[in-house]
Amino acid sequence: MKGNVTGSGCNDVDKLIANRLGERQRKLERIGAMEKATERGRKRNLSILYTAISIAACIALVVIVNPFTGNGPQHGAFAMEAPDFSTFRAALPELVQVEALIDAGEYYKALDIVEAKLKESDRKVKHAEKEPLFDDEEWMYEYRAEKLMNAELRWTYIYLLVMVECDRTAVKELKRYLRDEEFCMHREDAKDMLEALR
Amino acid sequence: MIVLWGSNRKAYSDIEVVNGLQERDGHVEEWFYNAAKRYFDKCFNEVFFNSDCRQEIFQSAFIKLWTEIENGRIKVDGNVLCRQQRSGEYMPMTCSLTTFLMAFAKTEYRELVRNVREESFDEFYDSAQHESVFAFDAGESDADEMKSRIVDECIQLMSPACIDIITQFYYHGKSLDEIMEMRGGRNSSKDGLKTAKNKCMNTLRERVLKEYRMCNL
Repeated sequence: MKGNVTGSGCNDVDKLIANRLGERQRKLERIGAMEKATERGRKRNLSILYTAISIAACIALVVIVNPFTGNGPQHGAFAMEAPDFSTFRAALPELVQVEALIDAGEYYKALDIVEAKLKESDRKVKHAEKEPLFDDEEWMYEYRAEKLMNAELRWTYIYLLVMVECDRTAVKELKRYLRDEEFCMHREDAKDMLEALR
Repeated sequence: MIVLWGSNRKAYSDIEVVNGLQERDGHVEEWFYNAAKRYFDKCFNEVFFNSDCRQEIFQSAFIKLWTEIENGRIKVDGNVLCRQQRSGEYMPMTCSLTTFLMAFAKTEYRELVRNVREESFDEFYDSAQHESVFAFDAGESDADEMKSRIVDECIQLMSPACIDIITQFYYHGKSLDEIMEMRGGRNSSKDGLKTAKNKCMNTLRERVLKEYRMCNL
């Protein structure tokens, strides 16, 4: 017991009163602590609820909204393999440089080179198709070689467009790539990628 | 997760609550407080004009019930809950603890409304309840325990303001200046507070001594 109880004729009663007031105070303080604990519990539950909702929303966002997960190809370098130019390196020496730039992550520089080479290849194909010589074996060989080179350059171009997130142009180029089925070496991947980018 | 949301926490029976509170079991105290609060919030349908009054009534009623249990006025006798009557005799309780709590709360509420309506709220002493708390010879009981119970009962009959002032002065040992500051202007002057403090303590002491005499203590 503590407080201002001093000696008097009613000292025992006063002491007991102070003692019981203290006991009542203990109960009030306990109630205060229980209220705080309840409030903390409520906040904790709300916090858990919000966290659960956030996690669920993130999962939903990733699974439903993001098209690059699941069975489809993933955006960026994660699902799409960098093109391999081993077949065409001799025909197009710049491809060595493109390969090095891709390895170094210099996608814009690689894109400029590939874009220029693709335009050049497109012009050659267009020119060849203006006056086709399907009976000429040599012409046919060169035409097919150019078509194959063109398709591979386009696939590289698409790869680089995806890497620099030019999705609309990538979609346009994918449609063009898929048009010529005979030379599509990455047909299934291209279809998946088109589906994902849409 | 279910545990976190509290839906499968252990529920205690009234008998377990009484035993737990008498043993000062913290888990039981917390569980019963929360259960009582939920019941009160759900079932106490009186009109309140501010939430502080509602909380004050709940707390007063809960402390009354808690004190009765701790003091043994409510106890478990042969697997039956019993409450001591004014005559000193223990009778089986015919209602649950929460119903009992609501009865206390209704009394508190009636007192609040009466005082507000009559605009004569006596801040220092609740004059409405003059009947004695016990009226039996405590000779065979433990005298010290009986005295504590009488003091508790008499304290509970006082107004909250009165209890606050004498608790601050006699238990916490605060000075009148400190109490003035803590009460934030609810007492107009230090002299007024001193008078109130003396009046509260004298009235309480007189009532306690009167109850002692009635129980031959």
